[in-house]
Amino acid sequence: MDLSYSAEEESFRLRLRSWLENNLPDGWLDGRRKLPEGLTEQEKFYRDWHLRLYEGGWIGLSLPQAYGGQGASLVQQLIYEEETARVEAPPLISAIGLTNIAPTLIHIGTEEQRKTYVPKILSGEEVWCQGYSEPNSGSDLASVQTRAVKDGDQYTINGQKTWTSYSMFSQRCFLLARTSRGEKKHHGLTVFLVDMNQPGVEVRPIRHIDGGQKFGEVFFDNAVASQADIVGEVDKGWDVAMFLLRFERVAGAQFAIRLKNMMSDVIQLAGTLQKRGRPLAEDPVVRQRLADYYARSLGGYLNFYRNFTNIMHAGKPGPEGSIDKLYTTELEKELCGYAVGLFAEGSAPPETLRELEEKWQHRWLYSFGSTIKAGTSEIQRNIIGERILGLPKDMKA
Amino acid sequence: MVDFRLSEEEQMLQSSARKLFESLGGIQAARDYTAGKEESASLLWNRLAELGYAGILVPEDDGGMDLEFTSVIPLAEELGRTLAPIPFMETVVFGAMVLLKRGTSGQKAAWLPKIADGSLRLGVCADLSEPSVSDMTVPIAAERRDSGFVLSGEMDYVRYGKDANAYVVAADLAGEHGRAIFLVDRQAAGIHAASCHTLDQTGPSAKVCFERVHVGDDALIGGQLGTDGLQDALDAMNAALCANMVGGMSKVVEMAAEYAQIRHQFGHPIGRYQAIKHRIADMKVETEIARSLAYYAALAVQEQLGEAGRIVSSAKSYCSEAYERIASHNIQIHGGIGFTTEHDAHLFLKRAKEMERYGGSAVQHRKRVADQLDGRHALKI
Repeated sequence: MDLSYSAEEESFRLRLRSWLENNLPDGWLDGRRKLPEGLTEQEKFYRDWHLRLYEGGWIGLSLPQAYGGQGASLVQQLIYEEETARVEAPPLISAIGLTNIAPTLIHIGTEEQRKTYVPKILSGEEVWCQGYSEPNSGSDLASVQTRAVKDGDQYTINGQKTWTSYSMFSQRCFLLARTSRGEKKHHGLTVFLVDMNQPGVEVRPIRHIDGGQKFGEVFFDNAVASQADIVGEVDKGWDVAMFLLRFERVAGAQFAIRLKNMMSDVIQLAGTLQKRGRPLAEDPVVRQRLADYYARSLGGYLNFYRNFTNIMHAGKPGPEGSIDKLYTTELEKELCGYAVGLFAEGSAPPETLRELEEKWQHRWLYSFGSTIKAGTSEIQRNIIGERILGLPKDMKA
Repeated sequence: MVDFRLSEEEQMLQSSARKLFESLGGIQAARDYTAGKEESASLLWNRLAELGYAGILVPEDDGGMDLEFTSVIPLAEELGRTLAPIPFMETVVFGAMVLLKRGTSGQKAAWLPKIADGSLRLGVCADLSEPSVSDMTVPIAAERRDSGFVLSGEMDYVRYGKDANAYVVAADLAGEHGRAIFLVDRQAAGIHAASCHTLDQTGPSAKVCFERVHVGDDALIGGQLGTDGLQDALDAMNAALCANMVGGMSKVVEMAAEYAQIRHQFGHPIGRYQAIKHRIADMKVETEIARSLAYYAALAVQEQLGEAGRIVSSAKSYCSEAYERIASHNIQIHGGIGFTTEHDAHLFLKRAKEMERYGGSAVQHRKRVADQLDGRHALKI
């Protein structure tokens, strides 16, 4: 049983850490981590960051070298997650393209699709979004209603997607649409690679409760895609959409590491905020709560590594990832809520208080999205109950 | 290389231990024990010793297997699954660790082989309501006499105190400034052990009274005053208790899941209803988090990490509260029969509650964690 890294792995880490120190936006490491206000400025900021990473050789770690990736090992990919989380690096606008679209095209796309799209995903020239959820299809993804009707060599697409991350910035969309009515609802679906820069596609950003705009609604009004834009087979798109799940091996890392960093920050916060001249961290009640959160956070963090170990040896992820996702996101929400509550108990000098309080309020509000996206907590419990414990599936219509 | 799981040998140890305990009747030994039939427990203890499991931490020269501390995990888990009513933690872990950490070479040579061959069954006469040795109250006094010491006082809540044939005793020196640790034979004149009322009948406590018990100089562990090594032994026992609790939790989750599949109401197995399904899922999640903490606690003890105390206390506080929650939900899921003594569910609940106190309460453990936290080194592994 070992939690240490090899000498080669540590030198990879140091190389990345040093690169980050030299290439993060100005002031980032000093805690000035503000994203620009408007969407146009944000897009420029995100694209710049991707380009820097690309030029530094840090893009496409998980992709094979034959397709322009770095062919990095799983542990190196994990280290990348650890180091970028450690400095709260800016988000990657190309994340969906790199972790979802490119691997899918490499494994089950056509050669033409690979040559056309993969290099531009890597370079950042084309940003991708994933058109899955709809207003009436969230957890029940197979019930999607966006229609793609065959019309000669083309397909005409009508419908609406929602919660589509980075759709405001995207040139392409990996779209799940219905091409026919099958015996079961997940039959008759097809995946299309859709050009977002066509007249029939409109994007409306959505503002979420923390004030940010990371996703949007996408309206398809007689948009078109061609036969060559189909991934896999017609009517067999469900399998394509699900294909990606076998790649999510380090996906849990960001949740676990963010939890660990947040815990350290809460402890620091309790030391910073004062009541009657003493830090809150000296209060016995606060200490009990901190120690409880510490034990729970440590457990969540360790569990990710234990699961990661098993994934490395099994060669593919299993339903155990649901345990990590459920646990870390729910705990983060609670922990952030506790941190915000500390501002009611203690205070700090005016120069630092406002920014500190806003930072924690933002984190807390943002955390509400994590228990909903990538499979709600309720869906995760179903997965744990059914696929790990063997309990019977829900009753369905 | 990141490899956070049991080694192959440890996994094999786990399956061998499971087979052994199943062959000896599984949880039936605990049920027999609570009904006053102690033969099953003795048989279990002897078979365990025959296979070398009592000597896992004892050096080979003293008849042991000399395994790394993490090897305790699989064994402790399997013992927890069956609620094995034997003083494994007190003897194989605590007793061995105290001797290894502070015993003289003569004492090690005399007593470690007796741990390894199962002839020693220990009770711990120290204040185990505290996770830190420095916070312990010491009700036993020791007076120096010509060729040894005289011990007087009473110790409550000595787990398996009536089954023990020897005690590790913490005592304060009367009239002097100092604390000492003794290993005392139960046969010594003046020792009485009486049962205390204990919730967990699979691990009953005794009040052990020392009425001017004369012990020789060789009973003073380490041959000198002081408690060095006692904290390490207590942390080791608490880490082992965490694995033991995880074993119990795992069994309880299996029990609940099995019942949810076979019990039908309103035309469906009750596990189909999300209220039940989700509750068992939450139980499973907590078990796995507890398992990760228990593994890391054992690793911290093994590697003698500076932060071992913080890690062990984090694990113990989480595990004991999780165990109680899980055992409580299990009774609820079983409905009426979960509320009867005919079913095993209550045994796990009572064990869980006892574990909340044994080796220090969750609140005390968290106090210890908080004392060792600051913004700089939180969550560094």
